[in-house]
Amino acid sequence: MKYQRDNRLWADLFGKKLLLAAIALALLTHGIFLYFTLPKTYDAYVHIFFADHYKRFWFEPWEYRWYTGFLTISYPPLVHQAIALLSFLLPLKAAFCVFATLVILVLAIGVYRFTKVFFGKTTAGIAAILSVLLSSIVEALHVFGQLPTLTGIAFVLNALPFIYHYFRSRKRLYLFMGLAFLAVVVSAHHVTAIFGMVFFIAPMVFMALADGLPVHSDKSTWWTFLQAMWRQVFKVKWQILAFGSLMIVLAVSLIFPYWYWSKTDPITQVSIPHGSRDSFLQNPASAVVFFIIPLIVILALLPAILFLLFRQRRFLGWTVSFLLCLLLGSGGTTPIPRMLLGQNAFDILTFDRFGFWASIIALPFAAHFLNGFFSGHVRRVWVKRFSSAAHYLVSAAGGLSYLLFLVFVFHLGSFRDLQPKEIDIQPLLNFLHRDEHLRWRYLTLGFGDQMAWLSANTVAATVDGNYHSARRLPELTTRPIERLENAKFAGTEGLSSLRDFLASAEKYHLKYVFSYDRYYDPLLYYLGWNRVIRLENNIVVWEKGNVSKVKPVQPRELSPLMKFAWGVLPLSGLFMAFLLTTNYIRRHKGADDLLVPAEPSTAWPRYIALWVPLLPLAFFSIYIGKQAWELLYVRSLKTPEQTVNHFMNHLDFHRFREAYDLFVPDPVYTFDQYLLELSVTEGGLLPNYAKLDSLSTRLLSQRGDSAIVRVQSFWRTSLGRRERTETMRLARHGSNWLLIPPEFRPEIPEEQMHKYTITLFKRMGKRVVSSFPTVTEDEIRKPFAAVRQVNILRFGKRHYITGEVVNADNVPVNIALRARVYHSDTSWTDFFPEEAYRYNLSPKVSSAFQIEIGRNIPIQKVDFFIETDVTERGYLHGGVLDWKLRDSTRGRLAVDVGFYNDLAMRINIPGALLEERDATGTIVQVQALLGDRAVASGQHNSFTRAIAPAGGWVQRETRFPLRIYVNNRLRELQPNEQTGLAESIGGFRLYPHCFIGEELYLH
Amino acid sequence: MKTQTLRCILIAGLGALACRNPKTALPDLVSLPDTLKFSLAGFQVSVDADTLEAWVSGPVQTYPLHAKKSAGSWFLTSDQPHGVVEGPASLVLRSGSKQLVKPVWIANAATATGTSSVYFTPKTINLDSAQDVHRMEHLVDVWRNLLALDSGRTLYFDERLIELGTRAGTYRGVADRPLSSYYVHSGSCRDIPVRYRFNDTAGMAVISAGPLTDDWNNEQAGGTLVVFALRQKGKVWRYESRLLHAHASVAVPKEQALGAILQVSVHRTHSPLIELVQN
Repeated sequence: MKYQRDNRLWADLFGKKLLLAAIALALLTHGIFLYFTLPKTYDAYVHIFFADHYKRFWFEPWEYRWYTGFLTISYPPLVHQAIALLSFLLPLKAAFCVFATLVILVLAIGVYRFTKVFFGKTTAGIAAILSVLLSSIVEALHVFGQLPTLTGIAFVLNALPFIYHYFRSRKRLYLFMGLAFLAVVVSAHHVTAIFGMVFFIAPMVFMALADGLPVHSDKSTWWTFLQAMWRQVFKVKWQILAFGSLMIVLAVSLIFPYWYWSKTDPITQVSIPHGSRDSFLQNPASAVVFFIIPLIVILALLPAILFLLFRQRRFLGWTVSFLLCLLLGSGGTTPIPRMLLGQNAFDILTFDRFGFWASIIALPFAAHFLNGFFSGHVRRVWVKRFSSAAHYLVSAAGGLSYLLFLVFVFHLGSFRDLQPKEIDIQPLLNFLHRDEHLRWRYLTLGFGDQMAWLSANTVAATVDGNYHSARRLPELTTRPIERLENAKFAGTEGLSSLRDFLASAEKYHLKYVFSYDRYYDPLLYYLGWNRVIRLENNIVVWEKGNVSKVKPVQPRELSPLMKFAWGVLPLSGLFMAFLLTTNYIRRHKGADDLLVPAEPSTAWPRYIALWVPLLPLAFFSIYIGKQAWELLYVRSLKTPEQTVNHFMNHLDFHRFREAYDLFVPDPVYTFDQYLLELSVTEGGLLPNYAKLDSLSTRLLSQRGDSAIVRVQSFWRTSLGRRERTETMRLARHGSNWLLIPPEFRPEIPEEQMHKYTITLFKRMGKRVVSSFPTVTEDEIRKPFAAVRQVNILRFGKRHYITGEVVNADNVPVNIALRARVYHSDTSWTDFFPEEAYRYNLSPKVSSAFQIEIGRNIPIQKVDFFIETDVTERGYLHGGVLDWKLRDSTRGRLAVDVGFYNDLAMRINIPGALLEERDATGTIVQVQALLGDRAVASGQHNSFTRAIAPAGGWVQRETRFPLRIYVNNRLRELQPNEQTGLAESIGGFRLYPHCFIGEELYLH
Repeated sequence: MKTQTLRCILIAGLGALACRNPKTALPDLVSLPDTLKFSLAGFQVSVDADTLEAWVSGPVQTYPLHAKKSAGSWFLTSDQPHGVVEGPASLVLRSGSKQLVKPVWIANAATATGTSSVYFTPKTINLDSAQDVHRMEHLVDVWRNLLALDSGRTLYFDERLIELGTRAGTYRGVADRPLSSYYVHSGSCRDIPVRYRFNDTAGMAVISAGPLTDDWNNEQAGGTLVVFALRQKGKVWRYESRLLHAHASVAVPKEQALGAILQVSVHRTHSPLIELVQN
């Protein structure tokens, strides 16, 4: 008896030592790494932004900086407010890291206490260490940055032992302690609170009730066991009722504004795709991130875990909970999660959290097996069957492989481009704070989640945001796009949404775009944006002319009481839990240990004892081996198609050296020569501003050692999908197929130095140095613009507006157009031009335009607004254009467009604006015809586009009143004038509409 | 009957409340000036009261006055150290429930020097549309009081319609005041003189347009786009050049130019169609 007590005391002491080791390990790993992994996480900056909100406006839930305004009561505030509180002492990032580290410590303690309810303290200590190193927790913090989820689970785990003890002993002390911790959970993460009741609290109550049964009932049949449990439930019905009622009161009252918001402003947006909802069989990449990485330890030890779960009836609730979490965590792999939750909930929830919870539930059982493996029955089996050296070897190899795996998970963001490179935001802040630029909204492109970090550091507002549940702009909620900032990853829908915002910038007072991804450059240019400056951090600032300043938005009003409660109650709950815990540790700690059954000595079946220790080694080694294989493996070039695929991939990622290495070695064809030829033949929309979407190769012929392959590539560009077909010749070289360099016919200009004369303009600011903002004195008068014609046209059921405006001034002018179509006396919609218009015009230059209205749009009248502003940029539209028309098939015409680049810089996207006039001189259609390949200086290039003549098919609508305003003054139309006779054929006229990527104006 | 009585009592009560004047006039007021000047040492009023509050409600702002009792009369001073917006005002004296409101005129003790503001509308003239500019000047002191522009104190706004010349350029409204500058821009191009010559050595045709001027012989602005369109055998070439000192030119390969129809355009002005031939 004494020996047993001593043994238990020793185990207790050892368990506590292990807990201390876990805490030290957590500080050394998470505490140190987090500051460096934070910029690559998905959500950390979002939570930092919310924290910044509370730091600035603690009692005001209206946040105006995202989505033209939203309420922060749409997310439980505890974590954000705690970081905000810390940020009064520390910088925001440091405050986040400190709070996250504290949460990890609370989590380790929680896992320790949670495990103690199942097994002894040694196992609990091992579980605590395992929790620090568990891949699901590492991923949740260092990859996903889900601090509220971690906070929620940390406090749930700490609450569970109290709930267990409450239902065992029925002491109110445990009830209040449990509720105090659950109050923190509710205030930190509502989803954990809701699902935690099902997956954690219900099984814990079940286990407490099962443990309260007489000992012999464990040997009874299942039927009698369930009957006994039913009776047990009735015995404690008042406790259940009290706990349930108080929990509901807490959940409702603590974050009442959140429930109020979700009831009065329900989420009615199109579902945003998320990898955790994918079928993991069809999308292995999603499986790796959302299932394999978080659950690899659990899957490796699954036989042992299931053995323990099924071994005792008290674990029945946990078995159901674990298996259900595992099933839901598999996302859309099976239809069961969709059936269980319903389509609506399935589309809103992300399912990685279920896998995460499954890993937490399994922790005690995994730790129990490891305890047996290190010093228990399993070790004895191994030593007896093999040797102690073999046991040591397996332990060391398994540990090492898991360590390597963990390093991989910690640095997942480095191995895979989860986020763009870290951006120094200081130049952006300087720009926003200069010349009152923050009086307009801005938009970031290609920033990833760092857009939230920029927002957290400025009071300027963006139309975008990083918390999609709070979006209410129909332009965002009707499309499955998470952020405008990463529109290119959301396919056609994403780009359509971005296009809407960029084209109708005035509607949102959107004046500046900070672009970190040149993919969007063509779209920005063709929607009338000008490059202003390239900042020190390589971010290019784009500006839209004629955009008015942000007008105050009326916030959604909340009662002052709700605002006060939101600002005070959540943190009060945390402080209350802290005070109660301190009191509990001082006065009551230790009295409850005897309530938990002693840890049983598990005799593992032989197959588990012998094989399961090998599984983790196998799992981790296979995974690490696969990663190494992908990194180091020299790709196969065994067939011509494989070589072509690799070559196109290298081109897509601009890995020119690797692409060159796929050519047949030739002393004449050097890498320099390849780059030189590339600089002349490649460039342009494809591939410089595009991403390879798909590739189709067809072997045209293969004779002996030579082959010809036709390559059809499909590219995603910001201007839409493009297709390119080319033929490649290959030769067998040893066992590999390599490419034969394409024949290159250089066009060599005769002159050595090409010269081009241009007049540059610089707007002279006349600001007066003053302590007051110079609002009016710096503003230059509105330049003169004239409108030559505006026509409302109908083609079938589709309406559109065409016309022509001219810069009548002596300086370059940005002319903004807006057609306000009234559907009735009180309802109207604004329409803006897109690519079919040249926004910036040199002195005395005109441009035709076309504005789409759409099909079946009711029209009562139209007001047409023209706003002008001087510009220093964007008025160069291209070089020498030549063109001719020829008949094509089915009544269509083919336009052969040629360019000679007489400029001193490259034309990146050669383009022409085509206008078609009918016999009366009315412009009946305007189109932008854009080429795919760049034109180098002094070089020629050409492309052909098919067009459908609109003349004869289009009707001019004269029944709708049309008023034209130039700079807000009502103007009369000038009579139609004759265009230059020489440049018009059959009513068609073309003029340059090119995108010039080199930043002439930025020098 | 009962209702009638109640109604009478109610009306009588309301009447009594309406007639009640909580503040009665302040008696025995002497030696009060009609014009109060600020930044002065103060002025004396004789009021039979133990306490006195005083302020002046000006046209824009209310200025409190400090009241100090000395030898039976009150001495009022202002702590407005700089100046006020001048104009009609009310002097209010209050003692307990008694008060006096006296219309006065407040003015600054000393006249400050003013800043001249000159406006031109519009500041940029395009000779196609207008040839005159509307100029207005006024003088404002630091407290936003209009000051007279002349010694007779009759002229507060100097308004002139300035007939501008037809010479394009930048004109100074007030010397050393860039913000007062105004600008005359040239009008539309009158016609387009075109010349061309073939350079056989270089194999090029050089086409020039210029000088491009308006009806008043002002040069067209630098940077104005000139389009040289050539058409031959159903194909159109469009060359663009920007004006420099009223001239623009392009060099066209001879094979494109020879026999082509040329038209040069600037804004609404087009040259005649010219067939390019080599003499």
